[in-house]
Amino acid sequence: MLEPIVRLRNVTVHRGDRPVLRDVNLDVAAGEFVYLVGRTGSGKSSLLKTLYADLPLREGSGVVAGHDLRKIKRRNLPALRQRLGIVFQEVNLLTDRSVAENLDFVLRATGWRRREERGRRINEVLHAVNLPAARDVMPYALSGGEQQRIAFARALLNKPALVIADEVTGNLDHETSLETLQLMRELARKNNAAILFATHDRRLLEHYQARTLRCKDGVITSLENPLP
Amino acid sequence: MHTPNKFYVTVSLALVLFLLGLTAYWAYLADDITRKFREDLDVVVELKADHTMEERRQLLAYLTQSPFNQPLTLPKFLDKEAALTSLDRELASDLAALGLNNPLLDVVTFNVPIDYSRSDSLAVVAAAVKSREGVDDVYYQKGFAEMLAVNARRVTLVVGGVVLLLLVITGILIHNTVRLSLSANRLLIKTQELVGASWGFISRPYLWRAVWQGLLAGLLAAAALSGTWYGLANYLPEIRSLEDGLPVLVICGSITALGVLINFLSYYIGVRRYLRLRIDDLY
Ligand SMILES: Nc1ncnc2c1ncn2[C@@H]1O[C@H](COP(=O)(O)OP(=O)(O)OP(=O)(O)O)[C@@H](O)[C@H]1O
Ligand SMILES: [Mg+2]
Repeated sequence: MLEPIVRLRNVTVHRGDRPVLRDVNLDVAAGEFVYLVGRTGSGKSSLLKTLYADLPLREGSGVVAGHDLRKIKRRNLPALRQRLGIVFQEVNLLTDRSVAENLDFVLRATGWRRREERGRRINEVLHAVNLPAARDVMPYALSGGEQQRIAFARALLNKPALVIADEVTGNLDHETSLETLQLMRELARKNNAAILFATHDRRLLEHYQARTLRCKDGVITSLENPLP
Repeated sequence: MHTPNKFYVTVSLALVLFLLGLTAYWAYLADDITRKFREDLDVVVELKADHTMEERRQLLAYLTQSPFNQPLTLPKFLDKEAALTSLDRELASDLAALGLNNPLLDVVTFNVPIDYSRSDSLAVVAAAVKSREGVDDVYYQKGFAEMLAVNARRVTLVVGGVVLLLLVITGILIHNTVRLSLSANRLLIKTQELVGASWGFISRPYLWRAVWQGLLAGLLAAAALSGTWYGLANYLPEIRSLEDGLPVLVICGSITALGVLINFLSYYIGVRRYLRLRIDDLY
């Protein structure tokens, strides 16, 4: 069996000095899709931040994409983050430049030297999210769902081993949420990327069933039957 | 993006660099002037009224090859009539008209090398010369050049200290402006970090801007300094030679380089501190 992409053992997630989640044990296999549910303030975002080392891991052990979260140094953060695709509810595309420039910016930041290769990769991911015509469009000229697809295209640029999606459908209507989720699952499968998909929206779980974890009362439990 | 704030910072830096250049040029001028005074310092050896030709010849020979004598100059003998004339033409003719004796003595004058021009060295030189046969007494202008040098140095130190303080203040000002502009761009920076950009990549555009701004400030200061020097040269024609232009050129080059260096360092420290402190907030 392959090394899991995420392996957490007896992890306590802290926010400041306060523990938010205790005794977290979590494995995510390559290419696996996992929902993360729980009420507001239950610690979903905090757990995800711990995975991409935006919160330090102080208790327990954790490995993400081959990086030991206990030992990771600041200078290794870029290497970890390049193996991940991080997407939020707030799309945070750079508003002062076109879609292609947004994507190009990320490629340059992650060491893609050759302009032609960057151009080719940008076309690939825009085709993948069905927005090939958006190249030269400014982000504000796109709908919310389209912006979220561009953000997802951006997350795919470096062929991530794990996509971390934190409430990505929070601002979308139900139809668009479903479309976005379907697109992400499809593309993740094609790219053999695992997805950790944090959401409030229980209706999504009905449409696309998958392994589901719940944050509640400071612990994470696996929901055998996530549907009510 | 050029906010007025950044523009003011560049102008302040230029201003401080200009003051620094001015101070450096003042220090150079003061040093140069005291040097000229010291080189021209005459030591006057009064010969006894009854000295012999042989004693005079021996004294001249002694001085010529002694280390007290400035290289490339020769001690000069001046008889008392010439001495009187050179002192005061009218007094000389008045004395002659009145049939009075010339009160002066025959003298030998010489210049000491710069190294011997301090009072304590001069006292030693005077004592050595005074002990020679046929010498009555030795005079020199006590401590004038020295006083000049000490005062010039004092002014340089005080002004230089103030300018350096201004330089530090400017550095802090730049540093704060950088952090302000970084926190205005914090979303961009956060995004860069999340997609895996290194700090080096994130800082690069800021450091380039630092180099250009520093260069601009330095060149502004150099232009102002050259202009000031040119204006000054119209009032003081004696500094308007090529040798006097060269130090100005060197100073201009130095303040330009310094401008780039200071701006770069302030930016570099500003960016690093901003990135690091934010991390510390989290960890
Ligand atoms: N920056 C912060 N500093 C300190 N505590 C925080 C911070 N952000 C969140 N918290 C606290 O940590 C706990 C978990 O918050 P978190 O954002 O992880 O929850 P969440 O499940 O993502 O909620 P939501 O569904 O609203 O996004 C909450 O009690 C919250 O008050
Ligand atoms: Mg959250």
